[in-house]
Amino acid sequence: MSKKVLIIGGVAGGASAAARLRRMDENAEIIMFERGDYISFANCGLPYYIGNVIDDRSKLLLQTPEDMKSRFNVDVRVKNEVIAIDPDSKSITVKKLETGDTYEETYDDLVISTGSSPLKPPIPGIDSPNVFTIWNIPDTDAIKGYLENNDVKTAAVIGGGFIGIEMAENLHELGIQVSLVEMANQVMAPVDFDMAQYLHKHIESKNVDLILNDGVKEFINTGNKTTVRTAGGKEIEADIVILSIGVRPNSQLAKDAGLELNDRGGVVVDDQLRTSNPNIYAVGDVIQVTDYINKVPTMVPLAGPANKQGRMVANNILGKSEKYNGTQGTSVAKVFDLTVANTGANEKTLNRLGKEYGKDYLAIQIHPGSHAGYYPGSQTLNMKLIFEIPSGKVLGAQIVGGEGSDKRVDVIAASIRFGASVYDLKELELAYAPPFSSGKDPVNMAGFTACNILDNDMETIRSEEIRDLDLDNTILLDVRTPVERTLGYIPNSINIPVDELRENLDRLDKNKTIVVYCAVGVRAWVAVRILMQNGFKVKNLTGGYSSYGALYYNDSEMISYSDGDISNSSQTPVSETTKSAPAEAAHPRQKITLDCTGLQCPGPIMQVYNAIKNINDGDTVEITATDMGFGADIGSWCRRTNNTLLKEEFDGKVTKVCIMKGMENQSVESASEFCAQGATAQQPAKEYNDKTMVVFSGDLDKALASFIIANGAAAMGRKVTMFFTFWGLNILRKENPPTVEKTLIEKMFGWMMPRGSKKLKLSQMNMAGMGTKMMRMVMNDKNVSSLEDLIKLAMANGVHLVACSMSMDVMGIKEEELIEGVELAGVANMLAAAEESDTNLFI
Amino acid sequence: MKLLIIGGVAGGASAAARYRRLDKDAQITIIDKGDFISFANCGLPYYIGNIVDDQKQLLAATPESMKESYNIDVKIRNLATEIDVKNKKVTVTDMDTKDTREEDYDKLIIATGSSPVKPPIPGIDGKNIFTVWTIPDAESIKDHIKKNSVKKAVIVGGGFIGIEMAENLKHLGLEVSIIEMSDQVMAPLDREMADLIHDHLKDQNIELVLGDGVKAFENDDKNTTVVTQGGKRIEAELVILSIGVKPNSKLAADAGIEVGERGGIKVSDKMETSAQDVYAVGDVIEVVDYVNKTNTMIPLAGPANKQGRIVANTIAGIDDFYSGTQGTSVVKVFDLVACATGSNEKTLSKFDMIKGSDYETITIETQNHADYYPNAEKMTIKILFNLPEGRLLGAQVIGGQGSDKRIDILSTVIRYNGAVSDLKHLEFAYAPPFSSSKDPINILGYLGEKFF
Repeated sequence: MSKKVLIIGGVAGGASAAARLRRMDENAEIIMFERGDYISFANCGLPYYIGNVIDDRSKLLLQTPEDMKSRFNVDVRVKNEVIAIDPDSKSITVKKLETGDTYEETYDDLVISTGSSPLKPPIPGIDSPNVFTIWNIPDTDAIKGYLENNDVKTAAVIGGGFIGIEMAENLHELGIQVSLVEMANQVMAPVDFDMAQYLHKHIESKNVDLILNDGVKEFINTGNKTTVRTAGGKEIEADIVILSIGVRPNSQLAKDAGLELNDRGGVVVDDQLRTSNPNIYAVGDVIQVTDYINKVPTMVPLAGPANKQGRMVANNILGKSEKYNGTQGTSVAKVFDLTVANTGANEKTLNRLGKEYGKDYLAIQIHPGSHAGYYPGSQTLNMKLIFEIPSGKVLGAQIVGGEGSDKRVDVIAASIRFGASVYDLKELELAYAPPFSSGKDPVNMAGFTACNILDNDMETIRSEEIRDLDLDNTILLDVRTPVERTLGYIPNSINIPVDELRENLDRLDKNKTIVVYCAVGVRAWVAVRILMQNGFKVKNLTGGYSSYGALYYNDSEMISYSDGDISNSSQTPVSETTKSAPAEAAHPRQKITLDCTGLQCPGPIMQVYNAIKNINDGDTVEITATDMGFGADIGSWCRRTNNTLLKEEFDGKVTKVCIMKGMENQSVESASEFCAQGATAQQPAKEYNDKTMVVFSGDLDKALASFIIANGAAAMGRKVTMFFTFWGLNILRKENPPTVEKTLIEKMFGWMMPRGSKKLKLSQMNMAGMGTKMMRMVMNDKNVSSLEDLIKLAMANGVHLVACSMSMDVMGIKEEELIEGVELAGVANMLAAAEESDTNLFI
Repeated sequence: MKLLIIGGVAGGASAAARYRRLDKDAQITIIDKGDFISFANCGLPYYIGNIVDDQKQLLAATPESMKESYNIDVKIRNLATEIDVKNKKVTVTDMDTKDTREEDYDKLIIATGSSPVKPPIPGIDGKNIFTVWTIPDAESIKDHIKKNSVKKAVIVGGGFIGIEMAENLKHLGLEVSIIEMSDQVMAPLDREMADLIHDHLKDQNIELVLGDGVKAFENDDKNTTVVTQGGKRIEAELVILSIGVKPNSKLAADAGIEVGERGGIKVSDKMETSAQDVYAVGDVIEVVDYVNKTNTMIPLAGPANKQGRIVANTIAGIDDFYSGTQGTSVVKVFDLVACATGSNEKTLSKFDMIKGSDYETITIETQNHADYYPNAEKMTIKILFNLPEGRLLGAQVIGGQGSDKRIDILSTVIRYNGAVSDLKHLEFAYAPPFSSSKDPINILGYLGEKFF
């Protein structure tokens, strides 16, 4: 006789169980109860639907109740909530949510797949109308609807886990200014802090306001806005708030039925997924699983394991006796342009279980390229491998990087399942062709590096230990080239490039421990071997400066900067703020293009340095690079070395940067300020000194000068406000404006004055337009950006373009006639901006 | 201690660098008959196709950098002509000065690699006919294309290099034909999987001539006409020969070192040859087929690099061994990726294994990631496993993005002697842009259940 199986919950595990049961037993009676409206939906896709990456809502519905009925002959009852289980009579009580009626169903076997729900702690104001959680289709519809019907410009995401991060990314893609608040000191709990720092830096580079170590104290709702007040006293005003602080298992039903729960509310199951009652099974987020690595109970709410458990429970109900061996917690998330992936144990977990670094386990970092460096598009993978000592058994791996991060974690995840050691990793034979990998795959490299340590070839030290280093008995040795130190170095380190080390051994004290580092660890490894064989006591900084710089990226005390020997001999500052300089350069402008994609060590910066060294002030270098750190560091490098960052773009894979040698187009104030910074050069500039400009003139040359200054200042990270008034307004006029109603005088003004940037004339030597044409031609030949480009660039750089509403009135210019993105304001606004500025120019 | 290494590309260069790290005092010398050491031979087709635009990018190391960073002496354009294993000497000719000298050694590593096969076909030395094996080869081809504004190319041989050359020449705007003697391109794949590649090549307007060999090359002033056994005549301004490679083992064989029937030097799992203190690595050696435990030749860069490291360890007295080659490989074929690892059905049938009783296969057509997430791409995976245990013997994947990931996972499982039943338990990283909650590999494991 066939069984009657009831399944409570129809999403991942429940749906898998039902489908598998039916495939194995055509005659079983299978009823699935789901309190929600939908079964088997793509919960992992929800953030992407909100971000319009997935455009069709129906794609999220993997299976409808009708599909389940027709294909699998499963009786699916949506909006039917199971309110009680009676294990003694093997029956459940079900409430029809639409009518409120209740009824009972009996079972031979019962599967609890009730999943989990987002945590909603009792924080004041948490039920405000614009505070949302995201867990199911109705949640998603609510958020999507809210975004469509309200003018949402700002969002606060509370909680930096998978969903929080994915929501931050998707809201950001919609053009919303996002703040991300996380109570812990890091986002993405599955990775360790040192790896999370790569993410923090990247998230901040996307202009997401990242607030760590701070929890929410209250939500204060004022109509369309909610202010998030944190425990640390911060106030964030947002048009929408997303709560993603974690989930709890939906286990009340199991608890009421007397089934055993753990202290976190997870249903306890045996290795066949059976609860404390032999006819009741449970799968998915609601259960406690075994941590595959440490063999301790844990909770891992992930879709992959839930689906596997669903299938397995069906087998077990039908007597196949399959064992679930535990969950490794292999996971991956896209974080803007990066991927973060991990598997197995992290250091936090190991430490919590009493395992000690250096005694029970070791951890290394490496930074290989995703594929052969010479093939275009290779991206850095920041990898961390954790292994047991002395056995070398692989305990876990974490990767933050570009393409191919998921591949390497999957290979290591598979290795962990087979109980592999680091010796196995170095032997793995992985597919190699230049577009996909390197002769030695990153996984092999991780194995080699780990084996080098285990075989006592070298001792390592981690970046976090540098802070407490005993400098009296330690020498910090940087074996990179001097130029690389302009990107930052460890304070108190001395610099001997690896190729000069053999001749300089006498500079090192044999009584001290030498901590060696390079950019990623390769050259340091060579140096370590030289030093060890010469009788020095040596430690290698694992992951090199790349790891160190990432760990301390926001701690200026831990990073020093060198000027290298890059100094600009000739500064030609503009002495009058109204004087236009760019087109008058004496020598022809040169533009060099550098392809640094795939370059890692010592990295694109060497190429940039060599190129800059060989060109003249005012010449430009355009660099394409795939090294993620490059884009992040080049701005401050330019500032420290007195060069000008003209442009920085990132298309998801390649960073394109344009640098002009020197800063000759800067005003005196900013130029001298730059020099001062270059001289001290100890810290990246963090103080923002605003610039304001009143653009009164409508002459082409003056307009050019003003935008060049604005762009220069913006590229330095200054907040720039340009206030356009009287003739200056013409710069902002559209070439083909929409028809607007005007008085006769207004029309005459409009007709007589130049319409837009392309119609402007020179202040001198205009010669009936000839001079202007010549000027534009020369600029084009010399690769000087046109005024239109400069305006676009300025807007992209975040320069505020403000049109004076009063003078618009006077001159009869209407808002519709101005180019997009211009703000309107009065004089008070300009004065307020000027108050916060150290430079105020009148052009 | 004097370590002499003949050949400085993949295995030789790896061995030298590794050995220096283990022994700061050793005198390490590399002699190489070519102009370059440690160059990225796998990148040559992409250099010809201008995907890699600078020759320097292909050079992982130069003689100067080897000296500076590793204190290793590199002598390029030096040809080893004789090994005297008894007196531990190698006779070397400087190819520029023609001077001959003797280099003695304490330990010798032979890393002479392999060379393209050039069968005695009439006309094969025509000036339009090239092989792709070294940087000078690549330069000559680039030059030839430019100087003669080449519009049409014929590629003889549809292996890795042939396929990569087809893609890169097409990228340069050339019209391309591939002539392959067997009935399929890409020998590591089984025929039905290769058919997916055939269709794709035809979609890219590559003329594909299968099951037909070259009978003669007819060279005139400008063009070469390739005449096939089947009577086809294809005229072209450029012919690429990529029929296969043979080990450069004559030097070793002449010295009395034991060589296998296909010409590969026989080595122990510690890379020792039959001669005392002489070791060999890379394309020139015979390796153990990791799956079938038989001897075979697998000329791939990955294994060569690993062997280089192992031989250095062996010489330094560190216990290490090479456990065999699976032949994991991947090639980009325009918009497709074709990968293989372990044995294919052709190999298994050579060992008289019969499908249904000795082994089984499963093939699935699937997507690389959740199909509701944009740009999901089709992927076909085939696995082979033995009966009755279910041990994984080989796999082939053809598809878009993520194909290389799946072959790497399956290669890993094969390394651990895993079975089909293990596949369903593997726990992979899942988020919609990367995979599905049941990864295709898990699905293969589920489908495999019915065989056991």
